[in-house]
Amino acid sequence: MSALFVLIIISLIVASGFLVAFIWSVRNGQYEDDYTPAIRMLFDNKEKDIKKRKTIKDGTGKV
Amino acid sequence: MQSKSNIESCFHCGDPCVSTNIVYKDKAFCCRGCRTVFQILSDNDLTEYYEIENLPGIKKEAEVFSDFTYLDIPEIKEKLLTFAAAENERVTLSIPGIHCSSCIWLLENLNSINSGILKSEVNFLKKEIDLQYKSKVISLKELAELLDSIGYSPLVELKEQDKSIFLKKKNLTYVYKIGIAGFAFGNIMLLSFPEYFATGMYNDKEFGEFFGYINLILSLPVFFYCSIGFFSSAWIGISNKYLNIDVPIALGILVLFLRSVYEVISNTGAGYFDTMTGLVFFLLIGRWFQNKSYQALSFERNYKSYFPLAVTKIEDGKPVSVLLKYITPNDELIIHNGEIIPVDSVLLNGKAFIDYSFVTGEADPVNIENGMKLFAGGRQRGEKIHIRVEKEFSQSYLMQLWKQDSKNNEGSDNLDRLIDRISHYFTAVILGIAIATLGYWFYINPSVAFHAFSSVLIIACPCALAMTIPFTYGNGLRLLERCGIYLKDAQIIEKVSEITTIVFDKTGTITSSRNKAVHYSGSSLTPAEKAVVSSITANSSHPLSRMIYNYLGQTEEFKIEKFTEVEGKGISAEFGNSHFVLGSSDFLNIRDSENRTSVYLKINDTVKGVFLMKNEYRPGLNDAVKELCQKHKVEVITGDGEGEKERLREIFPDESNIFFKMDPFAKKEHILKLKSKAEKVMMVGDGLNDAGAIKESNVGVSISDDVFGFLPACDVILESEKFFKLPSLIKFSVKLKKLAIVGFLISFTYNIVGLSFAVQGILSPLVAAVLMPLSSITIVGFAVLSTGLAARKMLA
Repeated sequence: MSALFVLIIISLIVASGFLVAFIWSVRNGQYEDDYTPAIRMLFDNKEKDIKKRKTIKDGTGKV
Repeated sequence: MQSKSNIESCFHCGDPCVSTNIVYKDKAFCCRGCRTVFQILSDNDLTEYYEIENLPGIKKEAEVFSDFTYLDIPEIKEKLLTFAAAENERVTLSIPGIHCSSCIWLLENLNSINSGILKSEVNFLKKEIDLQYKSKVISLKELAELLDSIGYSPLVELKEQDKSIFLKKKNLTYVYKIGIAGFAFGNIMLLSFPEYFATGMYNDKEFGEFFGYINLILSLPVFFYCSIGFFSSAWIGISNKYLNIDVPIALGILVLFLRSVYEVISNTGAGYFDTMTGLVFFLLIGRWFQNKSYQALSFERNYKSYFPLAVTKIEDGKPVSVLLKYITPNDELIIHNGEIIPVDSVLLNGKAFIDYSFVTGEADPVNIENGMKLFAGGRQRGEKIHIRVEKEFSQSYLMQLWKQDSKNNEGSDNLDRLIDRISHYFTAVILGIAIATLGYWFYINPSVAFHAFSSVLIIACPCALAMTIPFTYGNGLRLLERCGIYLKDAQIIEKVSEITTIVFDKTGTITSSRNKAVHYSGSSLTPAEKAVVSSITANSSHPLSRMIYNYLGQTEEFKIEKFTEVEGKGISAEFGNSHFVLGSSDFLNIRDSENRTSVYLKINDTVKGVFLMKNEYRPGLNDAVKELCQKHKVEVITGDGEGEKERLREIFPDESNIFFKMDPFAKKEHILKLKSKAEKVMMVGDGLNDAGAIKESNVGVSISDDVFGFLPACDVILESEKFFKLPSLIKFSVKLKKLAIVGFLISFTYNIVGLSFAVQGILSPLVAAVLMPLSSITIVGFAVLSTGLAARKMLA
């Protein structure tokens, strides 16, 4: 039965870790803008695109 | 996905291209402004802008002078910059023009235009851009000019920093508190399960004690940190001698905590930690839900944000940018086209054509002669003018109206709130029951007395009651937002539901400032003449020319010659042997005593006729007024003369009063008079001229084409196309109040059930732990579903 005491304490410590992570993420401003990042990730990175096309034309196949 | 060149609509903004000669790289544009933006973007390889969204461009207001030299003033810079080191600077600018994902893409790729920009990040919801840049490569002023040149003019405002930061912090602390309370609640709930099934196999003394102490430790941050707000608010209530809703809540939390601690330490039970933390958790969610804020809207703008931060002053013969507050009488200032006259002053030279519409409500710009007075708040249309300052900014004529802070009797407002009226009695009744229970058990069985007494206070803790308003009104707020009606806070719903009189401003409020109808009167024009006039107006970018062009419709296009335009006055051109002149009465030397917007047409030497621009009433006005008149008094106050009286009478019934020639002060006085007759007044207005009246009214409504632009301080912001929804807003608010009362009744029922256990002294932690979340969830479910249904019926 004493295993349960240890387990409960460990589980609480793990849970506290998540609480700390949550507080850190709020403080870090991750909840300030929940819209723009979703749009931003859809934009293509143009420079890379150009490079890609070039390498394909070159026939090297390397990116 | 580039569309082929399209003659009809502008490649940049999608407006119809009136003239066909503004072309760049095979693409047609409606004006030079749009073409310039496209040029900049295509030169910098940023045309992807046009591929992300269809027609993302922002049309620039025709040749408005935007001067950002004041951004070089150290005092302003210091206030705006969030970070400044030797070379790197960082600033957050508000850009009302942000509206689509193309905007985000372009603004985050600004470094292709100027390599001095290190990082740019858009916050779409706040309509803000956060910029990091090398100050040696690009200055703050150049940055603003760059943004302006591509159509994203920054709106520079020196916000009262303390206030916005305070609000932000307050919202953040709610998030922390909810996180911690939720964490404690979840864990305590799990650890309390053995207690719930304490009969039989789970009955283990050792675990009971161990869990009790862990629960106690977990509840400490909830009691000392998360619930502080309730205690301080209750204390404020008590010291102001009224029992607000937080008094019974604070009392409940306190008793819950003390009794639980006692039970755990004395080893007599498991305590009610689960109930307490759950209660705090749900209540915090309710508060947070109610505190919905519109990040990009501002309800608190005062007259100061309408005026520029700095003006161009002539110092030793040179123009210098000076902060507005340092302007003193006898200074000489330069006002450019589109700029606002910041102080009462006298015109020295230049042609002043002042648009006072936002200040006085008069629709048409006025001509001012040299040496005549100019009042603060007017907007110059036309060439730049020189003025001499007469009075300081704070002493100017209309300042007096806006400066008077109406106290709006904040104190007594609180007692008007439904929730506080109820909790006032509620607390008294609960305390009565608790003391009666204590007395009863003291005689019958003293060992149960304390238990029963604290049980009453615990179970009566009005969690469900306190959540009714946040969820009913809070959800109402969100539903209203979806149809273009923005309320300052949830409390406004209750105020709207009590309105008895609705007062409308006329110009810009019930009339649309954008759509004007053109009427032509005079001798009729031949098709050929029409076509020539249409071709002439096609060459001008003046708004009136555009309107006439649209009125005449697309015709054959003729090649006209000797086209000349006098800014703000008129145009002349030749076609064949005929000489055409279009313009104001002054321009054609015609006497026109009527105060109206008109464009005269002269062909050769005969005046053919006149194009009259009439304000169109907003679509749906008729129906809206009819609906409002059923239950409310409706009035109109306008700064204009009686010219429109007959048209207004067609819309408004005989019993509604219509007042003409009311200046801003008279409007305000009128509202005060109505209020003194115990009327609850809603003032619907659009500009600074209504600001005084809006402030004094019980509910001030600002109506605007651009809700992110400047609006006077108000309680409700209404998108102008949603004007016809005004009756729905009132109906919906009344319904919400009724729903809130139903919610109260439901929570009372739960309270009575709980109290019946408590007074008998048989309340167990299990009953409390079941009743509390159950009642809260019922309330939340009821509030969300019923408001949603009501919205579907009333707001659709």
